[in-house]
Amino acid sequence: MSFFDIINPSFILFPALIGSAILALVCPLVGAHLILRRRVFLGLTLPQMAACGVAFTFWIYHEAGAAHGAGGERLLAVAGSLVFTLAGMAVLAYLDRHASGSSEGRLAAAYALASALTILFIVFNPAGELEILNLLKGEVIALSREELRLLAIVYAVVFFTMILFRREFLLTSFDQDLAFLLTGGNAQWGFWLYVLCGLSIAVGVIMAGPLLVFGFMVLPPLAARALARGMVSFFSLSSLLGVGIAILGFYISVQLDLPLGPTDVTLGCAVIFLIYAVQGGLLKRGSS
Amino acid sequence: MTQSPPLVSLSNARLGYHDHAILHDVDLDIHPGDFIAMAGPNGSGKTTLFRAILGFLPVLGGSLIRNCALHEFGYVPQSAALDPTFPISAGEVVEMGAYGRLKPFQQTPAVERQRLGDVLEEVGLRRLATRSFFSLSGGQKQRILIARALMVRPKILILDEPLSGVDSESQATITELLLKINREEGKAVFFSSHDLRMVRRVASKVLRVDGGRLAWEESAMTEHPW
Repeated sequence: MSFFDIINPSFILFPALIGSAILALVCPLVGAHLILRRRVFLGLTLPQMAACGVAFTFWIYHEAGAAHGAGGERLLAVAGSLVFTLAGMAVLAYLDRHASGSSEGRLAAAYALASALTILFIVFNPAGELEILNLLKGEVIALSREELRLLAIVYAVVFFTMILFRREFLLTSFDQDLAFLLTGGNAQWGFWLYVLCGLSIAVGVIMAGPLLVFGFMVLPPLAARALARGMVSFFSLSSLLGVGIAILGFYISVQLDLPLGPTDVTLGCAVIFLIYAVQGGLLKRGSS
Repeated sequence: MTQSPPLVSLSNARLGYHDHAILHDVDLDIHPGDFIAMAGPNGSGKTTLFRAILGFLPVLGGSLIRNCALHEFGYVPQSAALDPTFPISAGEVVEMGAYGRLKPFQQTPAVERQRLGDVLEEVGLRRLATRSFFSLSGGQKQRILIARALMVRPKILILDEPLSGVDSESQATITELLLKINREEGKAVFFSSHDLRMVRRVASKVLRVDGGRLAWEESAMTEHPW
């Protein structure tokens, strides 16, 4: 199967390609701010909390006597993902303000707890095990047109909000003191940035799993940071590299029959390695 | 002749973090056109005083009155306080000073682009606008942060240790720039340093901070400190 067959709209897996391209376009914009604010572990912990919410919802759904595959299950899972993500963010924000100890330590503990609970909820609910395992592997292959539409709508809102309020979000990420002065002491932009982050993670995880969402949030901006000479080029490159990785990763995944999530993440890491290796080589040549 | 009301007035103020006062009985008025230096050892409370004036910290006791809005303060933090991994250009850092005047959907208007060029010219770094901010020298970074503070159109400039970590040539350039801003534009300037001898040469009023108290001393500033 050629590359052009795969990007043909009549290809059966075309919705999955579009879904992963949408994730790859938007997640880096949000993830770039997490990197700039040195909150990368939040990008790891929140998707795991979202996955925990999905596993919990599937378990409760099964306990209520509903059969898997019945209507409304996915919508409930989106709600579960959203509630767990936003509740987790609220608890972490509260602890950051009021508790002693390091923020990284709390994020690590929250990640461990969310991972453990996800497995326990799967064990409680063997009927939904396959679906959850597919989710954790990052299988967007099964994305239906309705799910794609939901993903497109939510991510369009996140994307345009990030573009529209780019100055406010950049200012609050770069220098919170100046943001405080220029907005007359209003700290709302940091709050809204985290809300967008939670929304994109909660919906992204139900469509593609925590691995792919975290990968697209972190890897393209890390690669772009080495190339960018300003914030506009940093954000643009992050999204472009993300989409490039998504399309190439999808092609490799289909050709070699590999799961998409791990393929994209491995490819993203290879891109970072390549960029830094070439840059290091050029610097060495320049200095000799 | 009546003096104009102070831009900032602290009276019998207690300042610190989480109910733990670092500075006590602070009485200080900053008027338009003042050029005040504050000297004291590291950890004596210089940054605490700035942060309280700027509203980042609550006043624990006494009173603090600001006769100008928060967005009329031009604040220059220590450049080391900013994350050096940001891929941001010098011009983008300066442009941030105008963000408070721009609407979310608005393109940067010509008047703000003109102002951006003017303040970069004023600090003598227009040619470096597209360079990565964190690739600049310590002195250049300070001048870019001063340009950003000017971009705000401030009534008062507050600078936290603007001369630390820069070579003597940059110290002279920055000091001359601050004097020029003070004398030609009439803006109040309030800056800190741990070098008492240096601030005595530069400022018309010198505040000493030590042991949790502020004390005034008159400076012997000459026409040209360098």
